[in-house]
Amino acid sequence: MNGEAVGFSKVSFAYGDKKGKRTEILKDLDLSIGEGEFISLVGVSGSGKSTIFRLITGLEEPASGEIRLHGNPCSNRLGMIGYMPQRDLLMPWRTVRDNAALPMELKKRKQHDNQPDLDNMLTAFGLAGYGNAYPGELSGGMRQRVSFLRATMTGADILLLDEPFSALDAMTKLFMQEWLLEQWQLKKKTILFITHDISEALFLSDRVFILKETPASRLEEIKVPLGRPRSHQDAGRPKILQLKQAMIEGFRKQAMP
Amino acid sequence: MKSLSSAFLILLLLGIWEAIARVMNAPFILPSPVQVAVKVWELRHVLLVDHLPATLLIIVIALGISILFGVMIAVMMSQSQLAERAFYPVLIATQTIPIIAIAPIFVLWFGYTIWSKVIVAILFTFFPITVSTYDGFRTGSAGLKELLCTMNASKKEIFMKVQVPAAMPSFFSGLKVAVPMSVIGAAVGEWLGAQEGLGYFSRRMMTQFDGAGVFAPIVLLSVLGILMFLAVVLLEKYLLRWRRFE
Repeated sequence: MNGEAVGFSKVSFAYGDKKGKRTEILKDLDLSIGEGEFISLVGVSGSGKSTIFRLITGLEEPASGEIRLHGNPCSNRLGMIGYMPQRDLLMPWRTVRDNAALPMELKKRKQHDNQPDLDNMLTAFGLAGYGNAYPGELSGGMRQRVSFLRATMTGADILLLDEPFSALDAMTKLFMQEWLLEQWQLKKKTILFITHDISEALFLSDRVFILKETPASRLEEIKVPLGRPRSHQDAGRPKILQLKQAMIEGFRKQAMP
Repeated sequence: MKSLSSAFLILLLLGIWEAIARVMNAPFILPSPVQVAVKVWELRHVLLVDHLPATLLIIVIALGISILFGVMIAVMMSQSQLAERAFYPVLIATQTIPIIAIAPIFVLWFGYTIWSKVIVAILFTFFPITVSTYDGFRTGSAGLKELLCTMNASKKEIFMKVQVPAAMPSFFSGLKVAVPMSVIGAAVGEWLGAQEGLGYFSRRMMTQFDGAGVFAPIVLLSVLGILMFLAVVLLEKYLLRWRRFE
C-alpha cells in the first residue's frame, strides 16, 4: 500500500428528521483505504453505506471526527471525488458526449483542449460512434458506461460507485464487471464500490468492508485471497466459495437472529 | 388515417351546417359555409392587409410580454419561497377575473391604443406560461442536482444545467395552451374597443347584419391560431428532439 487515499478518524454522523428525532448512522468510525485499492462496501439497506459515500463526496459533513483525502484532513471535499450514482442520472437532453463533458464544463476548461481526449475516452469506453446519441437511445449497459465515463472525466483519483450494475441483466453485469476491472487497472484509480451482491464484491475487490450494526462503529474487513488480474473462473475457486458461504451465514444471523 | 378521420368529421359537420343554413335561409343570422368562404375570398385584401397585421401585432406583443415576465416570475418563485407565496395567489386571482367584464376598464385607461387589447390578451396568456414553467423548474431531479454538487457546481450552474433544461417540456406545454388563448384575447380586446383588427371587423359586420362578414374574420382568426400552434409544435420538436427517445 502506497499512502492513504481515504481515511476516517472517529467519524460520527446522524440524520435528524423534522420532529428533531435523530438517527445515529455512524459512531466513531475509523476507516483507511490505500491509494489504488479496490474496496467494496456490503451491508443491508439502511446500514450506512450511502452515508459513507455522501460523507466522502462532501455532500454531508460529519457531526464529529475527521475525514482525510490523500492523507490530508479535508473539510471542503466537493469537486474532489468522482461519483457514479446508482441510477445512471444522465441528462436526457444532452448527447453522450455532452453528458461525459459535464465535469470539464463545470471546471470551465476550454472545450477545444479536451476534445480529442474525450474522443479517445469514448472509444476506450466502448462508446465510439455514439458521441452524438441521446441517452434514451442507449442500452442499460451503455448508459452505465457513459455514467462511469462522466465520473472518470472529473479527473478525480478516487471514484465512488454506488451499486452501478444493480439494474443490469446478469450477462451484461458480468461483462461490465470484467470491463470495470480492466479500466481500473489501466487508470490506477482508487475505487469504492457499494453492492448488495456478495459474489460481485468478492470478484472485484482487494478488500470487502461489511457494515453489520447500526450505528456503525466498526467495519468487518475481509481480504479477498485472489491475485490480479482475475477472471470469472477465479471467482469459482473453493476458498472464494467458502468465504462467500461464511458471509451469507453472517448476514443470515443478522437478518434472523 | 388519423388525420383522414378528423378531416371526414369536419366535412360532415360543415355539410350539416350547410344543409341547416340553406333550410333556414337567413344568412344574416346563420350564413352557410359556402357563403362564408365566398366572403373570405371577396374580403381577402381588406382582411389580410388591413386587419390581420393589427391583430397579429397584439398577439406577438402579448405573447412576448407573457413569456418574458412569466418566465421571470417562474424563476423567482422557484428560487424563493417568499416569492412563491407572494405571486402564486395573485396569479390564481387573475384567472378568476371575468376578463370580458373588466376589459372595458382597460379601454377607459388606455383608450383605443394597442395597449388595451394587449392587456386583455396578456390576462389570457400569462397564467398558463408562468404556472407550467414554474412546475417545470420543480421537476429537476434531486439526484442530478446532488451529482452536480459533488462536482462542485454553484447554485446558478445547477439551475442553468439541470432545472432550465428540465423545465423546457413544461414551458412548451404552457406555450401551446397560451398561443390559441392569445388569439382569443386579441379578438376579445378588439371586440370591445378598437378601430382596426379582425375582431373589430367582425363586430362592425354584425352591426351591418352581414352574417358571412361576421364569420369571415373569425375563420381567419381560427386559421391564425392553428398555424401559430403548429409553429410552436415544430419548434418544440426541433428543440426537444431528445424527447423522441424518452
